[in-house]
Amino acid sequence: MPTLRMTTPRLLALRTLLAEPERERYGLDLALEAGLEPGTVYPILVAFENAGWLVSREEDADPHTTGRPRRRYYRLTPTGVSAARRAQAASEQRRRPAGAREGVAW
Amino acid sequence: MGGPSAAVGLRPTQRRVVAVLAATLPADFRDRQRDEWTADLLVLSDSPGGPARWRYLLGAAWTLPSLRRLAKGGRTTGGGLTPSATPTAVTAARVLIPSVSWPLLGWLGALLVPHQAGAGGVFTVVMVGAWANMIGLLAMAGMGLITLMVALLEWRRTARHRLRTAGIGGAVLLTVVVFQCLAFLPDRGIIVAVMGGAGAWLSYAAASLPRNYRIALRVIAVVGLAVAVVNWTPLGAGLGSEYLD
Repeated sequence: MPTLRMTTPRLLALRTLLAEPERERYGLDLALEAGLEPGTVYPILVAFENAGWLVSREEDADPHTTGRPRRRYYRLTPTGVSAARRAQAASEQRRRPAGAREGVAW
Repeated sequence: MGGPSAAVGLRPTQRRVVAVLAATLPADFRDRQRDEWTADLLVLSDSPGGPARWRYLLGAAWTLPSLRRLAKGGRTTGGGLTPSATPTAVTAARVLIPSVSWPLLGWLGALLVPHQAGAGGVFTVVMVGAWANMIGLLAMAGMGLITLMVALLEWRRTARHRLRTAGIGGAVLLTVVVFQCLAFLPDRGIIVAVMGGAGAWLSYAAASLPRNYRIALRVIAVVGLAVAVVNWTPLGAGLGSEYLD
């Protein structure tokens, strides 16, 4: 089964998405909230979408009215929510010192 | 599909950059991504030529190979995770790649650029890099300094990791100071080749390192070995004595 490699930027994006799983976000919005370089967020979003963790839709706005191209909004799927929680848990587990992981008393 | 992409408010150069970036993407993904970039750029800065927009475009260009690969990849059945490379492996790669590249680029630069007495700036950096290729202790000093810089720049890592990295950098520099008497014994690229070999080992041992890191580590390992072999031939020895004078 194809798998997704977790990098720090991907984890930051997931953490932000998990904060409000039902909320739709566009790329720049997510990048700024997650503390990512704005221009670098799209490979992350496409990777998650390819894996079925996100769904996206084009906004229902007239570009001639808004004066800009239509945005694309992204939202976590139920699969994405569980996968994001597993990824976060794995990351937290890795960050804990070895003694704490093994439950050493002293 | 997407709306008007030649957006009001973007400078012509910025529109051209967006168009060039988008042109490298698969046809069925191109309009979508061009529109997303354009919409983002329009809100990034009040001033059309502001640095925020150029920084954005630089980030987009930097990640373009990944985006292109993913856009071609299409939908997959996902849900699984591969473990990311450990922070130690990533930091080691970030140290080794510039530490080995600098002497090798210096060596190449010294060969290709005519000697300019009294020239400063970039030429000085190139020449010092060339010397570092021939005098391993200088290459190690460079690696120590680079390690300290990486410790400073990896602001997302834990304090413990950064302190450990800085400690290693300091230990390398201390070793150089202690053994500075060996600075006058040129190894002609052996130490740089060994550093490159360590990088090659890392690229295979830490298979979950990002792909570009693994490629860079293997390339510098091969080049480092080739340069060391050349340096130990009569031709290489002659070239070395030319710029070591």
